[in-house]
Amino acid sequence: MNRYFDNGSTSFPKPSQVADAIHHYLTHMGGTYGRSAYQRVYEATAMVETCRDALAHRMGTARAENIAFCSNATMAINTVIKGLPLTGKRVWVSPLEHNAVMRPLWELAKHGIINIHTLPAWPDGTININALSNIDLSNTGLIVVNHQSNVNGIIQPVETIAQWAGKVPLLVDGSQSVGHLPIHLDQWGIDYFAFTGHKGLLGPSGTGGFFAKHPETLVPLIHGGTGSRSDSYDMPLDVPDRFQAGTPNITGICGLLAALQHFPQPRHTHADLLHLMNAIAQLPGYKVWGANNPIEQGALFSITHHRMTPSDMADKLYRHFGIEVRQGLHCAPAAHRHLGSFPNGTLRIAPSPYHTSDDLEFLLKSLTELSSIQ
Amino acid sequence: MHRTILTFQNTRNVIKADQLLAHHGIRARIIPVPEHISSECGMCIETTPENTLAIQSLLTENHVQFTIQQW
Repeated sequence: MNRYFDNGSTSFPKPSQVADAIHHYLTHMGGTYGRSAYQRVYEATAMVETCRDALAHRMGTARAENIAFCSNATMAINTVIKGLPLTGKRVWVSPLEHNAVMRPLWELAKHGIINIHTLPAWPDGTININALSNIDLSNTGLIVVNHQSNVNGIIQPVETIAQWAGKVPLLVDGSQSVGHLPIHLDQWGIDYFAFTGHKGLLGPSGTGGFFAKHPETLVPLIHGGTGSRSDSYDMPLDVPDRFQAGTPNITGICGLLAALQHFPQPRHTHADLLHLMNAIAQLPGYKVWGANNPIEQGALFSITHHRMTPSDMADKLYRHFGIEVRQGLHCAPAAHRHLGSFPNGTLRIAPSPYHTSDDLEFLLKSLTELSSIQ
Repeated sequence: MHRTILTFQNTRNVIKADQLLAHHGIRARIIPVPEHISSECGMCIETTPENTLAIQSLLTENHVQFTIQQW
């Protein structure tokens, strides 16, 4: 029985090949990225580039070199936000942004550098597309949209938003969507897309990065050695080196490549997830926080109970049933304010492809019994 | 003239070029970048002069930017 439902925080388990690949790299392969020319370095470097190619394929872009590795999506988002010329500009955000977006934006806003505005949205947080035409995008430097909410799992119509944004830069936070949803960066016309390797892609933590359609628009966040243009103190202009100062997380990227190459067949369907959500909603005292339209429901959702707090529920689920979940604000206070679940937050249910329909039934049975436990 | 060296803007392009050359059966080897042609600390590709035209065509066709150094 798989009782780990905290895959929105980090995925577990991983494909077994992830640990095997990391072990192989650490014990046999070795080698750095692009700093010498002997075979060990060549193989490590080629492996990193194979991973970049695999990510490009996974995210629907023909421009793999426009993908830069970072330590996580937060660093990727910071690179974009702090790398764009935003002084004196307006920044529009969805109401469901994570603090990975809100904190770097707030840092700029509190120093008077930018003004933050929220896009019009429905009660579940989905952007109200019809209302976008009323927005004045003049003097707007950036639009930021969380592709799949880490609180209620709603999926934003990013392709439509990209069309509306036109020439205004659009940053999509794909932390929760990549690995769970098909991504078509080129087709959708996304300017910047941040991703992490350790959630939906089932790779190790410490991996992530971003795609930039026009990387020349960004000033690098981190400066340092790249193994290229070493005679200059300036960062190289070409990608991916422009955004990859220092030795990359080769060990982690090795594991991420293995995850991409050995991604499991999902053991439950989207219909199973919707069935679980509906069944919980029928239980006395429970409220389910998800998309109003099931088509816009992603791979996770939240619940609350009229009597038990999220922390009570999380504690009891773990102590009595061994179920591991995350409670609280999920680093997304803006989302909870919009949804109406602030300040207590919610209890998040985030399955992975490894959960079977029996695992989901076990969770439902546990929640059924939970409300009778004192 | 007895050495032909291909240099690249970055390591990714070295790997892409080497894989393309190998796929098309063009003999080449990865070597450290000689100091007198660049201050790089990474890798470049050495091949033979008779391969130059084929390599130019192949890499240009695949949008891999490079520079040929011969001496």
